[in-house]
Amino acid sequence: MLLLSRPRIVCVHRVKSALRNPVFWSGIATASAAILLVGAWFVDLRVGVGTSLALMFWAIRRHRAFGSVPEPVGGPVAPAAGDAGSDAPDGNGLVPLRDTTIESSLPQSMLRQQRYALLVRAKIAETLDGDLQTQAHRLLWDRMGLVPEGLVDLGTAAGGESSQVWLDPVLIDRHCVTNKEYFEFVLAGGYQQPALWDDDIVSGLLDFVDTTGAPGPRFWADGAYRPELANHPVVGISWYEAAAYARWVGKRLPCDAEWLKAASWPIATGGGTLAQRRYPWGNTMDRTRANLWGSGPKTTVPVGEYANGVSVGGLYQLVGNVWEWAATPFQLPRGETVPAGAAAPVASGEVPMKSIRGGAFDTYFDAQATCQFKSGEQVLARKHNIGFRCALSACDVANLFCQSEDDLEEAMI
Amino acid sequence: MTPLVTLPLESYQLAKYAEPLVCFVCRFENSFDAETCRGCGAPTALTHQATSPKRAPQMIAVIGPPGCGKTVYLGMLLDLLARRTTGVRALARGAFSVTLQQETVEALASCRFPERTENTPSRWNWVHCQVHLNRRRCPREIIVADPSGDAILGHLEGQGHHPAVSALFARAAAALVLVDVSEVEAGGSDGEYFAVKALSSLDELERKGRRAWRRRPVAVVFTKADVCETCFDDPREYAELHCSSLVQFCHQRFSKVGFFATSVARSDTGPLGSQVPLRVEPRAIVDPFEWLIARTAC
Repeated sequence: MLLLSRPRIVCVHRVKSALRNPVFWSGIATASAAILLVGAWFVDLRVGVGTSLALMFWAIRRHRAFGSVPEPVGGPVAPAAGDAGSDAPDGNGLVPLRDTTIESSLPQSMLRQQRYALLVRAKIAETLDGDLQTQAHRLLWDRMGLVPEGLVDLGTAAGGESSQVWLDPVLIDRHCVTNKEYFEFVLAGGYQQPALWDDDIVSGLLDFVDTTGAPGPRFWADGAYRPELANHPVVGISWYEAAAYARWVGKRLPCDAEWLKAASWPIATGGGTLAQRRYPWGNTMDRTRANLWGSGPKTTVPVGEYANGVSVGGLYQLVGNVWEWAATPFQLPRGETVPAGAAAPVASGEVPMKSIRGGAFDTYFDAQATCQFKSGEQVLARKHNIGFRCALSACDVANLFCQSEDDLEEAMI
Repeated sequence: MTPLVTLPLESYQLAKYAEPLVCFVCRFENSFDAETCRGCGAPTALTHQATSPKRAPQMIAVIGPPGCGKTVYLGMLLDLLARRTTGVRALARGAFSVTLQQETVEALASCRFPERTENTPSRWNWVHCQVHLNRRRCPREIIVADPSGDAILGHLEGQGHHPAVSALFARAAAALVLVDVSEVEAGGSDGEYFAVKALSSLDELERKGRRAWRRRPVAVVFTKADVCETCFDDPREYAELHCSSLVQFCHQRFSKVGFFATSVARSDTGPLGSQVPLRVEPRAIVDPFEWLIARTAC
């Protein structure tokens, strides 16, 4: 431990410099707060002990909450070379510190944070060089699947008529957002950026904390996820947290119709009818293709599993593993009708509800794990079995079908 | 030597009819061809079956106020046991034993709760099943009833005599006492008072000069616990925090008490005021039953 082994080097009046020293922080990562405080006490009893201890304590809390060095002057920290997701937590359950070499550019850090959707927008893409554009497009096609334009049948409405709607093409994440991906959002101070959040929830942000009181999903601890759950879908997040993350990465939550179209992949069969799949893989339930009650480990699994249950568009786990937040307000199930003149359906306590889709690892009935079935949850609920995936309108992507520099040049011409 | 006498078949049947059929539940004497007991309303098929196996069946009393979720809990429990998802499995004995499971599952799968159990004993569902535990070689014969909460309430407050409820209280080998967590969370204490009343009533029952229930297992089950995640973390601690008088009574009067949290479906109140099950996500349903069976004397 740096402070104990070399107590005279880090003087109290240089605490601010020490806080920017990566060696100091690597020591912090393996030491308890108590030892640090004792160490600080031995540093120098003469000069401003109280002030320095307070400063140290603040720094440690900040470090434990966000798992990183307070951002140094000169730009964000860089990832390990050649690895976009190198923040696998250590054996102690905490995500290790980054390499503190200075990131070469903001776009590169955004690519590492999976914020490629911001880089493919027309206004931004035209300012990037061809290589960065290519990288962003490759990531886009690697991480998202295209759902083509067309009709989708939302099901039988109250009046007995089927309700078909036309959808523009949309890109939807191939996997649910993982703990590792969501950690980038927490790490970047997503919970401290009011611009990312709906106006009506800013005052409630203080309530979105983990088991130790740090900002983050409900089941995390010390602002970090358990290491073995890195590639599991993030759960314990409210609808607002899901929406804020989506904004941060330049995407949005899919609406009900988009989710349904991605899962059921409707095909127009003539005569105004649509053939829609009951499950992403077909019309027959096969519990070996999804993590549902009775077919899985009764908890979440990594987002890349159940490859045999992939949808036509290449989207994983649309059914099973976790319910997925959608942007659409929840409509009441059959049998419940809203009286004339009544307000939009809300749950008890006047908390509005949003639609959730796809079933989870503890969904019991086959009928509730179909593409068509939807449930609802209060927007503030942070459940153990609700996660999310993001969407991006195809019209928001510049040069959508370009995957190489040649393609891009051709498109520009 | 006794001469052979040929009797017509009808007279043999008449002799059988003349012998009364004593109800297994309430000991009421019924005619042989009665479909339900005229005393307690239990199906007489239950009595026919109960007398056939070598091992006498044991009854488990399911006690809870109206609306606490007895029917949903029992129906889902039976479905889970039938699927053999845990170490315990159950095989229904008789068609009447499947009705409760069927009605509950059908209702929940279509996103509605089953109809409230009527306060008419002949309409109650009874279940006789053979329960297999992993650790025990011999299966157990278990009888469970789904009585109306109003009937139990009436029995406890002396406002009506229900032979089935009386028989369940007196003869059951174990009890499941249900407490609605959503009511507890809303600040209500009716569920706790109801449970204390029921347990007090059981405690006062005597058999051969002894308190009959002192050594019988009692599982206090918090239903609808999905509204409060901490209840799942440690049901006993939750009980001590929110139902302290119930915990105190249990510890003083019963030697085998367990606390459990269960949840069948995530539900919410619709605009018409009725509860709507949004989705079925059973949690910890089998645990209290398994705990009871393991602690019930053979």
